[in-house]
Amino acid sequence: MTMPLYRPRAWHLIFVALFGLFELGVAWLALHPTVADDYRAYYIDRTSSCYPRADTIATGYYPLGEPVAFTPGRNGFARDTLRSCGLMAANAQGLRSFGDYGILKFRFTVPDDDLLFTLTTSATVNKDDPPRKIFVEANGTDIGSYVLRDSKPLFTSFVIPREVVAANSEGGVDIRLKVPRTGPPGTNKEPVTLQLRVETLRLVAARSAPPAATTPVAGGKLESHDGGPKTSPKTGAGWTKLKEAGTSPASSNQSSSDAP
Amino acid sequence: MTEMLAESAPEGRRRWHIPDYILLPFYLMAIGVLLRYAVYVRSSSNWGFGEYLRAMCVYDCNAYERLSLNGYEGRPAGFDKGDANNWAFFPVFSILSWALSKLSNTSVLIAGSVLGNLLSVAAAIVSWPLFDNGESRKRAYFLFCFFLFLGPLSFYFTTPYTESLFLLFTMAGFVLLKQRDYVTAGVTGALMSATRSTGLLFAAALFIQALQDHVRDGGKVSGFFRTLWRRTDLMLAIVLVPVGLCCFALYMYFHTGLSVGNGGPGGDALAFVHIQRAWGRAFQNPFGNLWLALTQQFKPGFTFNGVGTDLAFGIAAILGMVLSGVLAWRRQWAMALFCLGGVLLPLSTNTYSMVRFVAGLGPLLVVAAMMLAHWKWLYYLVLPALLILDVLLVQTWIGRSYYMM
Repeated sequence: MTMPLYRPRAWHLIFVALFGLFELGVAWLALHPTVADDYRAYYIDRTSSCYPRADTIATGYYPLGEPVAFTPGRNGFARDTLRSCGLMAANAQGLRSFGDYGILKFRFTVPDDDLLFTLTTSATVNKDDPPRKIFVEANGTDIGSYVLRDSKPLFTSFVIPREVVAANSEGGVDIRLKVPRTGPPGTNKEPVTLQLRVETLRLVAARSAPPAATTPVAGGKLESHDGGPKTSPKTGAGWTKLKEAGTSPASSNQSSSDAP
Repeated sequence: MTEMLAESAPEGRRRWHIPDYILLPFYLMAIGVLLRYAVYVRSSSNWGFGEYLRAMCVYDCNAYERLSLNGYEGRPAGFDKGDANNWAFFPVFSILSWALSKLSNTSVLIAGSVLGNLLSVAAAIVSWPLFDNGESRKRAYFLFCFFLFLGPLSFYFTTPYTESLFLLFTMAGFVLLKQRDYVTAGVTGALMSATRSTGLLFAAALFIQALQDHVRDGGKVSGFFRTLWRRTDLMLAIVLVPVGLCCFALYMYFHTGLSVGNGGPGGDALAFVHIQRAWGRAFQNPFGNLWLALTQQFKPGFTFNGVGTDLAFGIAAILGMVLSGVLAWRRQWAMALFCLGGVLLPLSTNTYSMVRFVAGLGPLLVVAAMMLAHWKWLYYLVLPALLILDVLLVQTWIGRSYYMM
């Protein structure tokens, strides 16, 4: 057998150059994406664990002081304006988190006062599981934490100092609920995190908040918070509304104490 | 099967005669459609053919239909996590479905379903030269067609999925390689890469085939590399393959600029890769993924109740690799490399959908058909088994089984 002979053709080379340049150009564009920070963080760098909903949908609309419940038939179920990132649409269990944190966005006319943030959350925590600690941040500032020891809904409250509220240039508060990782990544390499279920919440100016003394303790078990600034909420009309909306702290099995 | 298209009639007139290998896929396609429709009617008591097509259009089928109807979506907001949209879906099949629906004045669903079937028929016909000459050739070809239209995974090839189109391009590409028409094969490769990202692997197949042909012609491996600069046909063929994917990437660059850009004219050319985080995909060691998939359900905390989806996907990936090994053993290096890459590339992101990805690799189906048809007893055993599974799985498919995704 003889060595095969090949004859180069000029038109081949012309097209090789054209297509090659085109592909190099596209490769350059692929290596230099010009995208928004949230997109880059979630999809390209993978440094965030959720992709924020559009501002036009997650508007953060919130009449300050209004209790919100996320279960079917309640006010937060259909008016889905608060969950911004890391929280799935409401179902019978409320808002369910995925990833390392869930962000709730509140936009309102900021009062000249501290705010009291109350929420009822639950998670599947079996008795054999270690306690699951949830950290709460407001506008990027740590305002405390709480611990879930079982799967019963837990009522908790935090005070957000006025200077922390003022730090948000859009006028409002972004609450970040940071949940612990509970297992190594599965087949999709996303870490397994505790799924926090947010059932009810309320954000109210401290002077309109119910008095701490009226917050009953159900189940006789107290949960302590770590950190968080301490103030004494005052009595206000919002408390009545809270009870009417069925989101009274008394409905929870456990109560916050050691009020921040 | 090797009859000529025309043969002489006794009276001297030319009587046109369509070869069996062309007719067979049409017949099997028609039988397959009727069979699944009958199963659907039997189980749902609904005679509507449109409803049947709708019921068969599950998972990605909906995405391709939506793509045909509305084009690529804006800011990701789909799925529970609000991070998905249809950027991951390559455009060619949806463009063809849209065009056919416009031409025929039918819905995209009907057009896409007809297109999927016809493309699979075309793929089967085109693949005929890839079957080894020999006593079992007809059996192997029949088994291959039977698998496409009446097998347990016939849904992939007869509903608006890209499997049929990718199969056609794959088969055409390898037939062209067999004929040493590298440049036309490169054009086919460009269409492959515009249909699916794994089409890019055809560039490597082209190179390997050219090397093998060079050696077959009496050249040496070192000689091949020495004379590479003279192989302008090969250069053109290889550089052609990524063109399809690059066109899509360029489109995505400008499209995503509108929804997730930072205010500039462009966005993310690799959005179709990055968006796959919504499906939990991330590049990593494919064998690590495989191990995870195979062992996941045996870990503490999991209950072993039959074969879980991860395990099923893992088994499919192993089968794909084994069949790629068979291709290599048969010295069909180009096909072996293409198929091995076609398994490992998606496996490097996750095992999800591995059954479909492996079934969509045409050369694997051909070699499997040739192996199973080699022994008559096995061939006759496999045919009814495929048919029974097809009937049994219609409801499973309609019920959106994760196993079959």
